[in-house]
Amino acid sequence: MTKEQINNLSFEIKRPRIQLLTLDQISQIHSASLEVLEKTGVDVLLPEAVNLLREGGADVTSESRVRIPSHMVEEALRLAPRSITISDRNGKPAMFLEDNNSYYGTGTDSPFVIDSHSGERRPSKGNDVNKAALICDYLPNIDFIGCMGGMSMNEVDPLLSDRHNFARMVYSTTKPIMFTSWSLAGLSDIYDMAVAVRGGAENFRRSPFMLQYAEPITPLQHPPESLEKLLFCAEKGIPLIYTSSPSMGSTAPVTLAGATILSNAEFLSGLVIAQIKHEGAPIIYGGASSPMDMRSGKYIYIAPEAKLSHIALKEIASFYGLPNFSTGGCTDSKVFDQQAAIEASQSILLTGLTGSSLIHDVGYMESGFTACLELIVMADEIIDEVKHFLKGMAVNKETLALGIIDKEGPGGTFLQVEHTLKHFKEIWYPKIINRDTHDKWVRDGSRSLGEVLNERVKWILDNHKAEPLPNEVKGKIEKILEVAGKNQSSAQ
Amino acid sequence: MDIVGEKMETGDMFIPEVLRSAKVMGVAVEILKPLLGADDITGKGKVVIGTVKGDLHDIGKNLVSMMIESAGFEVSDLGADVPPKRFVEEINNRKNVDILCLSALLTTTMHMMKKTIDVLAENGLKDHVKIMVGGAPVTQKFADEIGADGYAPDAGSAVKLVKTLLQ
Repeated sequence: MTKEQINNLSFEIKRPRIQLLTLDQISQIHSASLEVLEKTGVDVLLPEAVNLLREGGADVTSESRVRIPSHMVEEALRLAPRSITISDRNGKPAMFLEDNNSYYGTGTDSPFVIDSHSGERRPSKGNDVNKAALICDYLPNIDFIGCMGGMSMNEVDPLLSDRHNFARMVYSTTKPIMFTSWSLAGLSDIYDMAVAVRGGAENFRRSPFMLQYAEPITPLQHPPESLEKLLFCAEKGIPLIYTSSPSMGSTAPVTLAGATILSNAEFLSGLVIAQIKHEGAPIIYGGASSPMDMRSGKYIYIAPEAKLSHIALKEIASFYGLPNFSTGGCTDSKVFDQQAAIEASQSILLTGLTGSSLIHDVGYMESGFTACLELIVMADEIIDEVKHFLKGMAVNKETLALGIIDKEGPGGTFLQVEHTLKHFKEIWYPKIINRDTHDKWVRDGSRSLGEVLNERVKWILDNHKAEPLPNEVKGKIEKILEVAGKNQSSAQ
Repeated sequence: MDIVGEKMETGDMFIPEVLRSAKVMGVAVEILKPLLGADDITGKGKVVIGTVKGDLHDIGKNLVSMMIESAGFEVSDLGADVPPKRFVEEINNRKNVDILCLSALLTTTMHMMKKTIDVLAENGLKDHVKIMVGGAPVTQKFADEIGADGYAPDAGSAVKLVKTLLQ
């Protein structure tokens, strides 16, 4: 190839990518999923959803078992939006969920946290939600937040903690929020809070700043509370992440392809219900298969099979043209140690290479049981590095630098040349990862990465202030919480 | 099956192998019944198990149920989403139930464990059976708070706990 030909290439930057399935394999998985939906069917455990499916042409043989013909799935896929924009709290577009755009965020509802002051694992409290949200508000590479911990039973009635966790997040950050709710009543209250924040239902629909997380149960079950949420979200225009977690060898076939078919069929049947309820309802393609540890029975977050599953599911989502949900920046380790750093970093790189849309669970430890703020801060740095890495390598006349190579020639130096001055800032530099000499490192206190991150966490918590919500909006939210509290006590 | 249990604990056997061994054992006992004395085939104890009301997640409960059965106990598995009254009925109907195992996956259904234990107490059954709790969000501390007799973090420990509680 001549120099001119190289200069004329339109794809002068090639993004590093990873590929797992062939188009033929994806088609097989799609067809197999359609067969499961049509032949085996799914359990739809909410009468309203069963009726919608029946009216839409599905075969309802018992109270809840529904068999869905392929044409209903194809129609739902045609109706589902291929691009979903999530705004921040102020209504400014923040995440464009389409193609290979990747956004990273934390997880939800860990029952435990690693306390940044004592270093101990302890049950989470309401204030941990504020802290995690504030840390994420500060960090430039965390794009959306989940509550990580949650209010304890001693602080609030456990059936009300979903509203309180949401309020704590919305008070502590302007970033988009991925939330969970315990019931339709909880979701409805959270929606009312969001409408108060955006100043009206239509404003919210135009620029939603939150995503509801809900799950079908593998194998092939849609529980009533998930369906209630799915229908409510479809109606109100709340973007929904509908994601199951097949456990290979226990709730699903032990083979990855079999487990993938289940989560795909579970998502697709949810998609059908949502699109019948409201054409164009925004849904994010979910799923995450992982092996059950056949020694302990535990669901594992980090495993080569889970990694393959994340790639496969993104490829299937792309085949459908839908944005997807994935997992990264987390670990199965019990403490913030070497294992945590290895697993979190690997998964961030992998999800980035895959080009997944929403990558959650940054900062999760121990299969999601424990939240760790230091891990979030570390992940922020690794995400920054990965984003840089994903820019790939530009090959063009300017980057080939033939002119100065010729000018400097054998034994020359490139330190002082204009080309270096112009481009050296394109090289990535870490903020936390240490590249100092040993002497300087000792002078700075001989600190391990864990110690540096812990100090960083404390510094952010002490110094960062989130943009406050207007008092009027805060008042409305407090009122919603108060009414929910009263309704709950009178119900008991 | 005692050897299988030991091998599982040392990591030499895995859950699917333990379950298959138990199945083989069951078939073998059926064939050998005429040759065995009554003492050889009486169960080690009666266990009732279920996932508490409101929770449809049952894989953890299924695993514990199968593993306890594999260890030679008589298990009555009531399934998922089991209301407190149903547990009471089962304990009354089956007579001489030794252990009740309650499972929950969700933080929102954990409180139903306490409710279930309270209903057992109201029916005068709490002191007649040992109550074990388990499931992802459950801890030893929570088990103590709600008045359970034991907590197990995984299926293997659950089997051990059943044996300990029956000693």
